[in-house]
Amino acid sequence: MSLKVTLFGGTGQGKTTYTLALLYLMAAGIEGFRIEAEDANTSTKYLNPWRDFVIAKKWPAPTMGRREDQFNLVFQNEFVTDFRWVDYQGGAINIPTDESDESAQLHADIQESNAVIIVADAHTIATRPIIEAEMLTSSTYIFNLLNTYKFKEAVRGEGINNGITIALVLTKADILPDEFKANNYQGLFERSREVFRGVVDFVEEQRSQTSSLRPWLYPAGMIPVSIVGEGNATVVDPGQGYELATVSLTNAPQPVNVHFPFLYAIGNELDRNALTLEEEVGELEERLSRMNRNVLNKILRGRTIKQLHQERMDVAETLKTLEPKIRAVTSVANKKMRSLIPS
Amino acid sequence: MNYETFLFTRNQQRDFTAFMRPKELTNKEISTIASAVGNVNDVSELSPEWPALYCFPIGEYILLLRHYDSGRTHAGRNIPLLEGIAVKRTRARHFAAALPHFLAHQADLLAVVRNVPDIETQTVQKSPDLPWPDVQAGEAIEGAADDSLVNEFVARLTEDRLFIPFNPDGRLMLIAALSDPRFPSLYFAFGTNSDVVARLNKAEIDIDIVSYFNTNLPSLRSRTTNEITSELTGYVSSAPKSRPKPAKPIKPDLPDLPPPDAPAPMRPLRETRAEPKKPHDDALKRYDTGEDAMLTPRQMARKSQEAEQQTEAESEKSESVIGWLGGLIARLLGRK
Ligand SMILES: Nc1nc2c(ncn2[C@@H]2O[C@H](COP(=O)(O)OP(=O)(O)OP(=O)(O)O)[C@@H](O)[C@H]2O)c(=O)[nH]1
Ligand SMILES: [Mg+2]
Repeated sequence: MSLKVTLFGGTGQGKTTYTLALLYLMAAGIEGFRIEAEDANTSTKYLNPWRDFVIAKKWPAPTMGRREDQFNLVFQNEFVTDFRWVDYQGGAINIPTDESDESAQLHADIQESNAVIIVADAHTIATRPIIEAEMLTSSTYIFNLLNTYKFKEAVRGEGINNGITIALVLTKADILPDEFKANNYQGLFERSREVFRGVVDFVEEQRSQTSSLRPWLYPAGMIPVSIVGEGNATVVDPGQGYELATVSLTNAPQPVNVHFPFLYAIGNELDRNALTLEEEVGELEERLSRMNRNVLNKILRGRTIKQLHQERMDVAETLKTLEPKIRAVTSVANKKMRSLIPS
Repeated sequence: MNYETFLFTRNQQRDFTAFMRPKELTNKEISTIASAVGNVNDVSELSPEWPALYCFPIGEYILLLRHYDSGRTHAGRNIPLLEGIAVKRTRARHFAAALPHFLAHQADLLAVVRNVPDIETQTVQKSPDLPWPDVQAGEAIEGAADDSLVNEFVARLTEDRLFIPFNPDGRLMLIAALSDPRFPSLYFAFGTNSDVVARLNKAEIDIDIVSYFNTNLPSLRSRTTNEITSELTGYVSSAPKSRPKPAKPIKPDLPDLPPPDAPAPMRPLRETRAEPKKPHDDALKRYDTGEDAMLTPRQMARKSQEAEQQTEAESEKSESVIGWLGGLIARLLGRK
């Protein structure tokens, strides 16, 4: 079972810093979970800039292009799943696909992704007018892409693996004004729901009674995160226009909540897969028969529906053996995530 | 013969883009260059006076590029800049002969951004064809102090790469090797790291002469195993004394940056604004969702099924109540 996790978010929102912290924390292991890179060089590639960050207090460079690497997730020394992790130059999201290869790749990545982790700058969400925060976090662009490649397709009943897990990482939570931290970050959550209301509304609609789609196909949660930890960085310049805050790291970083959104994305995705893979051959036939012929051909790639069903049953069987591990992942992660949909 | 130019950087509004691009360089090729050179995490030691230098073939072209810190920032991060020239592969031999000249005059010939009036308002453009500069044949180029390694490299070119230090000595050795008529076209990465070279390799771009930021000794290393096959004995580095310090353009509205050789930790640019750490401010550590833990997809599905079954059961129950009531009324009314 292989998953693809794509990091989403505008330029400067904190994707690369989050990635470095996550891979550092999970390389050593946390709550029984560990990430292993495909080879030692891949680990070094991520650990070196993290070392510059910790020791020289230098933030990672703005990302140029796109970076994709293959990792394994391990729980108590047992393999859980492999996953591909993709990080981008954030601006790829605002460029038409014919103007940039990163942009075209990003569209393809979304289509192929099982889970997306949206990284958004909590400081921007809290301190900028909502309409500016939408542009800087790229929330509108993100919704546009998810809608095009994941939501619309599902509404039309196309696509085989309908649904996607969405984890919203509200990073830089350490430099939030105090009023947004009060009541377990209630102020931040409310404002974030507003900035990302396109996504929120879609998922919410799926949960309402009238929808023909199964709402649990879109698990969506958010969480405040900080890579540096409370009080270890100061805002040197709050930024204006396109410029985001300039932040100086003053003390040694102490990452907080970094692994939860990742485990949430992986765990819920495995759980969601277990659910959809168990469907009967009849159900599958019926669902596929409603599909556009071209799309169906892409999905079947020369297989019959029966063969496809058998393959899915095999994967479902593997997932069954993973059951305790899936539960281990979700029980750690889900307790810390806040629903994107207001209750 | 003509050449074209390449300028790759970002501004506030637009993320990394080839603002000036050779006409036949594709988006995919630009993306390969970006993701390769993007593996350099810290460009603060690279300046227009002392840039990293790259020469490699890609697509239709051979590129000669320099890489340095633009002096501009985004979200506090230094913005790198890549610029230089592109020549069609069909002109490889001609270009190889002129390479030492281009390197010796890199400050003028590779400075593409200098012709851009304002990078913040710059749009994407295709490069015009520029006339070949007046290259003097046999231009006086000071050779490196010891060229025994270059001699050995001639014999081992197919098996080995030449490694040179990233300092003025290394640059002289590079120019010496490039000026040596015994070599065919040589490709190089001068001022880089192994991730960049590995990424280029993945795109089937093989580099002949390599200088990592931490290469200290000139040597020959196997292309396949990276093991040293030959080392320059008795080499005494003239670095770091002679390695030019970057002279960075400094934002006019900011106070002086610390000198580049000051201790690494960053100082806040405006110290007065820095607030002391609040001892009890640990909201993040206290953060908790309490009772609101999220359900997994299957838990959600089960819950909704249960809810459905419950409503069904209830409606059945109410239906039977209605049925019973109906019967009662009918009996009372004496029908049946
Ligand atoms: N206070 C604080 N600042 C952060 C944190 N994470 C990131 N930042 C700031 O945000 C800036 C941008 O972070 P990156 O991780 O480079 O952003 P990105 O999303 O990868 O940006 P692109 O590569 O341009 O797409 C950093 O240079 C820091 O100034 C955090 O946890 N706390
Ligand atoms: Mg980045």
